[in-house]
Amino acid sequence: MKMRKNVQIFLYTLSLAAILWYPAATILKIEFPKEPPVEMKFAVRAVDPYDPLRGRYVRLTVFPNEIAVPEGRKFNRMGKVFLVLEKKRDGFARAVRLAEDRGEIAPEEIFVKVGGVYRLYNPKNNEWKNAWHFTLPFSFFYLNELDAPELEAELSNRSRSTKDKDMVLTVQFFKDGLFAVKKLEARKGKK
Amino acid sequence: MAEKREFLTWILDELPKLRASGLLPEETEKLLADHYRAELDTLPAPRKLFAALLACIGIVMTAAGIVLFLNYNWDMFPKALRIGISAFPLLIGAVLGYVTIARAKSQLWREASAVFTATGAAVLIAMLSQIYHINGELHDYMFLVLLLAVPPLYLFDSCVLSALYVFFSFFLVTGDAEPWRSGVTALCFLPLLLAHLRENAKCAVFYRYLAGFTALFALMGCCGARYYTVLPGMALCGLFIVSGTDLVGRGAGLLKAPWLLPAFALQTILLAGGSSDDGVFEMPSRPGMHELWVYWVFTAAVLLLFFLVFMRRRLSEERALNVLFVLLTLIPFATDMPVMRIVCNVALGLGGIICLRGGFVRRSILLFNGGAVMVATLTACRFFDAKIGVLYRSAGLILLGIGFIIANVVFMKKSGRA
Repeated sequence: MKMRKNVQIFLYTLSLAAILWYPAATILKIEFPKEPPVEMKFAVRAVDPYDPLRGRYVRLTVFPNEIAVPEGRKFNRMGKVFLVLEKKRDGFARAVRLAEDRGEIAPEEIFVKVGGVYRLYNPKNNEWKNAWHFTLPFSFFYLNELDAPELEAELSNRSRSTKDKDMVLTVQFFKDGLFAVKKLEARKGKK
Repeated sequence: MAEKREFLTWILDELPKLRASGLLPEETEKLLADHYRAELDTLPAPRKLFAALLACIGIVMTAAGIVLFLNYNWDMFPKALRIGISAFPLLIGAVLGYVTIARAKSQLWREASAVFTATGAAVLIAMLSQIYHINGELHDYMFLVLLLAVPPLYLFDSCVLSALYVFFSFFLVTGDAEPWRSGVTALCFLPLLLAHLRENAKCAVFYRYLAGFTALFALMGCCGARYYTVLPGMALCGLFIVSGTDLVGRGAGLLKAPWLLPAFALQTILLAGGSSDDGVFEMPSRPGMHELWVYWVFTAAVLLLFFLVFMRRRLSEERALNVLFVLLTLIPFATDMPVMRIVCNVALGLGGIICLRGGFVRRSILLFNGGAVMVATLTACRFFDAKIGVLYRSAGLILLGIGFIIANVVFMKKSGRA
């Protein structure tokens, strides 16, 4: 591909600008948001705490992960599905409704794109429920290498006990569905 | 590369002998020796290649060590420093890129610039999502990274980045990734691929290998198992068989026309499967239009490419056979009747006979073998076909066997006369 040197330099600068645009926009949105983010808490269960490349991290099952929907309402499992969230008095998140179109969501509402969407089935009476499963996207939490063993032991104990959802994940929600996980902690203030 | 080196060394050894025996004037010998010596000098020495390989291994190991070291200390650094460290590979890529362009550096520099810029972008985005705990889907991340890799890919015309691009494209082929993303990713790569597939283009053989993987990825990403994949699949087989036979016809070996045999194998398997099971050519339940358009755009693009490649050369029965096979896959659109088993049996038998005849007439062992494989596949499928009675199977096989013996006798007689 023969091109003049100046044109090449110009195009390369443009491509670098394109590359930097996404990280810069993300940092600006999170560090200097136009409106303060809404913080919500989620009950979580943690599994699989180590990865040789990424180091210490926990894979989380986040709750809520089911929602009742009006009868006859269906969602395309392969398409985009958004979950509208609401903050309860105790700071925990409540799943309000699922939506397939961003147009169904009011500008002031907090929402997030979800995956793993499928209709729940009741095998006892062989009937489809009017409820759908979804997976919230904050399924990883990276840990400090030095603090990790302690937290992993804690998580491991809790997973085995009946209080297996007793960990809390705090997430900040920004406009346009952007979110950032803030912290993972024990519900009773104990790490 | 090694073959060329051997050839040049051999010819340089031969030149003095030719001069000594009086076949070559001294002046011509000197000119030829200078010419071939200069060409030999341009080839990378094996020692240089070995040194480059060792350097690469060293760099990768050092980088892996640095990654693990940073991994250990990562959360102790302030956020700004972590972002700065994450941007460092991209910075190296940018410096390399500007130097490469400004000083019109060699292809090695161009490759390094392209790879460092693209991987720098990938590292920065991945680390940022780790720093802020912004989790997301792997296919979302990969789509963004692949899109950002397109400008360096074209600017530096990089073979290595092309290979990485195609390899990582397969990460888009997951159950919940939207098919249009695979289409866009393949479309972005297509102009570069086509430019390199021209006969005298740089790294043409390398890009021929990539073409097959690109087609495979695009087929899986745009169609997957959800749609009637047999139609674009058969068209892709036809495209690779026709272009492959054109290459072989121009003297390229099978290694330089790499997708000829896999495409032929897949085509035969599809027909053999269709001849045994109606499910192979069964139309799946129709999905919504918003997903179906990707399938049709992809299928239309493959058919168009097939048509363009097909029209480049003179029509022959074997070439037309590929068009026939594509047309046969359209039958399920017209009727729901279970006719495809019969159609595939006839097509496989007909294809085998046409290829055998073509191979015999034109003394082409490749074509003859192709025909033999098709007939043998059909025979094997029917031999094990429980739906046909034993008596019919035995009669059919006896007739086929006698046919082969007669054909062999005729072939030997004609060969003897020739």
